[in-house]
Parts: sequence; structure tokens; C-alpha cells
Amino acid sequence: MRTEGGVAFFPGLARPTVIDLGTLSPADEARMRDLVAAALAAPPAPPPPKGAADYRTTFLSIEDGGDVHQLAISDVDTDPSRRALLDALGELRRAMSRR
Amino acid sequence: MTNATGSTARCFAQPHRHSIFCILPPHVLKSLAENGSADQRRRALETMATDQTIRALRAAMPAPVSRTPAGRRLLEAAEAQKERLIHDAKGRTVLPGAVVRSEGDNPTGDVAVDEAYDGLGATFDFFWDAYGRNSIDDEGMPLIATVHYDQDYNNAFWNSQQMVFGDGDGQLFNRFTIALDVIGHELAHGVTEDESGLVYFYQSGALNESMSDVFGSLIKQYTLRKTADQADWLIGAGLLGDAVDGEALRSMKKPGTAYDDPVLGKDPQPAHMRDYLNTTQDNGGVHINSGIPNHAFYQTAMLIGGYAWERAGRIWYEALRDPSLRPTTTFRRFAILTHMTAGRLYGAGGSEAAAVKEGWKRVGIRV
Ligand SMILES: [Zn+2]
Repeated sequence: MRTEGGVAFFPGLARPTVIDLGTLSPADEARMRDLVAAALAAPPAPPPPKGAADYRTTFLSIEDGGDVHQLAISDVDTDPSRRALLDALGELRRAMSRR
Repeated sequence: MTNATGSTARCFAQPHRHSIFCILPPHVLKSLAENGSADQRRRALETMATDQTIRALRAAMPAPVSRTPAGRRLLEAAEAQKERLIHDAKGRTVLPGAVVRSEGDNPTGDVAVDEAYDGLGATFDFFWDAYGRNSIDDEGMPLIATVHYDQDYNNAFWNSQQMVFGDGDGQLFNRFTIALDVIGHELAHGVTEDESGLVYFYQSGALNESMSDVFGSLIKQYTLRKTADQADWLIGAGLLGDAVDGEALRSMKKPGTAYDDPVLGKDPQPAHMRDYLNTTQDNGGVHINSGIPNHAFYQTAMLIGGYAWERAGRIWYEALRDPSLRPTTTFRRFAILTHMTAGRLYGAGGSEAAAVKEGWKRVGIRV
């Protein structure tokens, strides 16, 4: 996953990070798989509202076996499934950085 | 009635508790309220205080009170009052969250809430005092902000209707309400959209970003009463955490030098067209190439001297409002427009137009 945009562009923060769901507990992994499936099944995001600025967009490349799915979720995307996935990924990232 | 500058304004009697309304632009009313004779001050304040009455009228009537220019000016004059609403997202990402401070409420003791409230107030005051602009849309739009958005959220944004501020992670970033120019930057996005709709990609997007930096910096300079040579010309000073090697998000004085840190990387902003970055990241480098018009404004303001919001700022503001400004304008087209605007405002052969031309030349753009 890779996040870019925001009120400033920081080259160091735009680098991709990898989250391996295989390192999670079985329960957490199942929960993440459900969130990913729901987000992929959600209707496509409309373009950002005209005039919106400085929002961040997280680009996800989801690899599962041989399958690769692409997903982009911005701060101004209000779809509940994508928001739930983004919130959960944020929690995972914070947990990883605390370790 | 004669206003503070000695010219005569049209007035008419109104069968209402406010006996006289004068059709005056907002900045003149404000000036009267501050500097006029006792009678002028009373009348100006009364006119400005009709806010609630006009609002009640509007709510009760299906159509606007008046669509005539005079009526519109009257409404604008009457409604030039702040209306701030600060919300708390409580660490979640649902907007706008719960209202925690409304216009006129006392400080809450929550630093982010109170900084947002004060910062929006300073921004409103700047646009009103310096350019006679009544809020984001020049028609008194309420200023809505949400603080405590998400957890460890290292950003602030404008979602086309409101401002949103994260608390920062406390390591790389402090709370995003800490910097007045960042609050001004977000609100200025609303002004830019209202006036020009500069498309948020590539050069027009970088211009959109630059307008927010210009006004964000000017709001801070105005609030601190700093002249161009006294200002720091930084965007987001105080926002980076103590452990970060850097002083701000950006520098208009020296683009590319705001930070150089092992985690954040190095400030990528160019100061000259020869270093313009062609990229698809960041909406085509809108926060990167904005360094070029930012620096042109800095150069122009330094050449003109004095308070940057007075002449350099007015030239940029009026160019932004110019109907010929296209949403997909390039740096060069905008540069030409600022040069023409300087000539229109201060004389084609004046020092201001010369400063604008030289300012753009120093970043590699000829007008
Ligand atoms: Zn911006």
C-alpha cells in the first residue's frame, strides 16, 4: 500500500509499505479478508468533489495467490466498505509501527 | 451621509428598527465602524448588526430578499459577520462530527478546537479587512471545521465544504491546527474554488496550491503585522515534530529547503522553471511545483516592499478573481494576468507592474 497527497508532499512518506496478512492471528486475518472483499465489491468511487484539496489517497495493490487487485481510497471517499478497510489498515499500520 | 474617505454614499430610509441603511462596500462599513465619527460608527455598527434580521427575513421568504446589485450589496454589508462552527470527530473519520464550539461561544479548553476557532476567525478577518471579502464565497458562508479527525492523522484537507484537521502522530507531526497559515491555506482552497475553480492537476493544480500558500502566509503576516522583509515565508512552521530535521512544510523564500529528514525525505519543491518536476504523483506534483509560483510571489512582494498583503497580495487576489482566468490556466497565463492586473490597479508603467514582471522572471517565466 502507498499513500500520497495531503497538505504537503513528503517523498519519504510516499514510499510503499507491505502488510502481510499471513503474520496476523487467524481471526484478524479473516476479518481483514472480509473487509477487503467488501471493499472490492463496493460500487466504484465517484471522482473527488470539485474543489476538494489536500486529501490523501491510499493506493492498494492486493495480492492473493496469483490474483492482484488494485484499489484507491481517498479521504473524501465516503463509501462505508472502503472507509472500513482504510480504518482497519490504519490500525494495522499503527500496531506495526509500535512494535 | 459622508463616509470616512470623504465621498458620499447613497442611503435610504427603511420602515424598520434600523432607520438608515447605506449601500456601502463591506470594507468601508468596517472602516466607518472603526474610524468614523460617533454617528457614523453607530450607523455602521447598526447596519452590520442586521445580520440576524436579514437571516430571519431570508428564512421566512421563499426568494432572496433582493437580486438587484444594490440589494445584494446591502445584504453583503449587513451579513459580513463571522459564523464559525467547530466539530469534533473524536478520532473517527465520520464528518462533520459533533459541534463543540459555535460562534460567540467561550473557549472550550481543547487546544485544537480553540486554535481552529481562532484561526478561522483570523482568516475571515484578513479577507474582510484586506480585501472586503465576506467569507469563502463572499456571501457570508459559515466556516465549518472538524478537529481530532482519525487517529494519528498527519494531514489537513478541504473536502469542498469544510476544513478537516488531524492531531498528527506526535512524532513526525504536531496537531495541524498549530499553524495559522495551514488553517488559512485550507480555507483559501474554498476561496480559490469559488472564484476560479482552478483544476487540481498539474500546473493549474500547483497554482491552486500556491494561492493557498500565498493567502495562508499573508494571513499570518497580517495577524503578526509583519512586513515582507520581516516575515518568515514558511508554511506550517511549528508543525513538524521535535525529532524531525526541518522547520516547516514549505518555504516560499527558499523552496526546497524546508526539511531534509531521514524519514520524511528532502523537500522536493523547485524555485525555478528549469527544475519543474514532471510527475504523475501528487495530482501531477501540485504540492511540489507550487514552489515556483510561491517564489514568484515572494520575489514580487520583496521588490514592492512593505506589507505584502497590501499591493502584492491584492494583485494576486484580483488576478484570481479575474473572469478571464481559466480553470486549466498555466503558470505563464497566470503570470501574464497578474502583470495586467498590477497595471490596471497601480498603473501600467508603475513600480508594482515592474515588480510583478521581475518576480516571474526570477523563476524563469517571462510575461
Ligand atoms: Zn492545499
